[in-house]
Amino acid sequence: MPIYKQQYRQYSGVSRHHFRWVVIIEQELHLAMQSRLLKYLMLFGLLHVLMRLAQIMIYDIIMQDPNNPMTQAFLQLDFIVVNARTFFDFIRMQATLLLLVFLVMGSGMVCNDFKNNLMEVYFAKPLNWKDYVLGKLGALVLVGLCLTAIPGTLLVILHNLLLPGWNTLQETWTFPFAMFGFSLLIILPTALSILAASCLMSSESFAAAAVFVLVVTNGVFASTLSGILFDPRYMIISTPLAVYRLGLALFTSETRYIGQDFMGVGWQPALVNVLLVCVVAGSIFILRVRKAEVAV
Amino acid sequence: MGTSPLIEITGLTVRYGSFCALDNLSLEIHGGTIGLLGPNGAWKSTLIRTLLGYNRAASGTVKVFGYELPKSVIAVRQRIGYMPEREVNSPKISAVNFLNYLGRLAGMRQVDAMERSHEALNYVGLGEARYRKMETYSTGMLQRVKLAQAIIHDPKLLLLDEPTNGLDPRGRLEILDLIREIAAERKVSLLLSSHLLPDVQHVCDRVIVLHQSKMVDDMDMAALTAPRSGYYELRVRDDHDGYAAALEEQGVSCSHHREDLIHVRLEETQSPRLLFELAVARQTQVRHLEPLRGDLAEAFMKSISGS
Repeated sequence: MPIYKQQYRQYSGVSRHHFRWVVIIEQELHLAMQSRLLKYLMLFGLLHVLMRLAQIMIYDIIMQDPNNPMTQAFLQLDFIVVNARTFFDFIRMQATLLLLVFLVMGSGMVCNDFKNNLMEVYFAKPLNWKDYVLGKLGALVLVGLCLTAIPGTLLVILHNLLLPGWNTLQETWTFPFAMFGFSLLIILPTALSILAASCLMSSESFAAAAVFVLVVTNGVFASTLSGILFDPRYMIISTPLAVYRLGLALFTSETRYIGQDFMGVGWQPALVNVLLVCVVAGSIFILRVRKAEVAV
Repeated sequence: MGTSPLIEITGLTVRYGSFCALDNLSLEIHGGTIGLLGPNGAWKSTLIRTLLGYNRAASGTVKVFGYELPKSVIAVRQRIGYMPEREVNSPKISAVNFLNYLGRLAGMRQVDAMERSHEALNYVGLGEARYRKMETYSTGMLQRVKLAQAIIHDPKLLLLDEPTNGLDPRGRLEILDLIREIAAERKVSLLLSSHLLPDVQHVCDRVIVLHQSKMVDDMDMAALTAPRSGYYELRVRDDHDGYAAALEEQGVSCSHHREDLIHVRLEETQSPRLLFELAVARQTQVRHLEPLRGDLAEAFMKSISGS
């Protein structure tokens, strides 16, 4: 028997009317952290950060000291050198992990809301489709940045702290911008594609499978076309390669190591590819959510 | 009434493609508990969804709390609580987290939303189960969660779409009592859509009947269920048929309602005393006599057949 009877009580507090998408981001992060698989993936991402941290420390502390007996040994290892390539590769290698994280986290984001009839309840609250879209996308972007640009920027800061000087600063001051740009170029098409698939599919497994198939098909189509036409430039149809090309363009100093041209293709067609994916996937996502809010 | 209406619908037409779901509907609701009755496919849910801004009017205007839809849809949603017809579930989280989330979406601060979540869940009788994941909830419990989420932000108007769907008789009565209590004690107006007449009769003081895309009747429940002058329901100990025949001989029109119940209609010049006198004459006893009240089912059938 209850020790008291709960009565209906009127709410006398103040209601806030802005930034409701922030609440959605918080809720999505809260839900994501309940997934054990996602936690393991994030830890794996952290492992990569720790490896890069070790690389920077070895390069900045040991290799700058000519009297250190280990210097000679490390000088033989090219990959220990910290330069634009280090940070470019860091982001690039995190991209694969990012796809997996997004597949786990994002594939059920919208389809589960549809399946459980939550859209009707959400849009009965003072919320509109823009809040919903921003909230869902924002959660993925935030997680994506936590795996790529944010640790990358911290590594750049650490590099500058361990190897202070005008030369280091001059060489690295553009890296954070390049990393944020490159990260967003990876995150946005991936996140929007997964959210679009989640809108269209009835379950998260189908949505994840659809994105995976799409990525593979895209690559196969690009390589087949370039093979048939004997022109490697058609490889730029592959969105992952287009993102890679744009990443190279952003890390301008990187061109010293890889060359000005990437398969003879400039960054413009690559940007068109990425923008096209964002626009198509974004439109599907927005239209589907908008239809849930305003049916007719 | 001097005050502006809570809901004001003028010439509303809602279409699904070329199909007309609501046709030139005009309606004013000033508050209270209103039942929205209609057979299946009468577009009751469409009307509710239009009030929430989900469906846009092809023509006509819809105002809720004086705010015109769809222009001020956020302001309207701030003041409305909605309990949808379909089952709602967020299987991976507990009810208290679910409500906290919805409270925050409604604009409440984290602390307030959490406090209200506990209160609302206690209020609907889910206090013990509020920390359990919602995937373990029964249909009845999910129905209570739906009601709790509708009242989390203390709305001034509740839109309830088939609130007793899938509930057993006891659960149905409990939910209806809760709804009636919210409306009566806190002056929350409500619009209850149902095809179950007893549900509407249990809760509402006004009934609007929708049929074939139009509003066909608007009835006051008190007047509808008030004792009808000259109409009585009675039961005699035995010899029902003989007693009924004797009544008819006296010019009293009567009909057998059930096996032993007789409905009689007395003319203005006739007194109920006649019923007792006849019983004495036929050496039987009147065991039950009460004025006959209006019947919602009868009025509803009359409304939809006359439309």
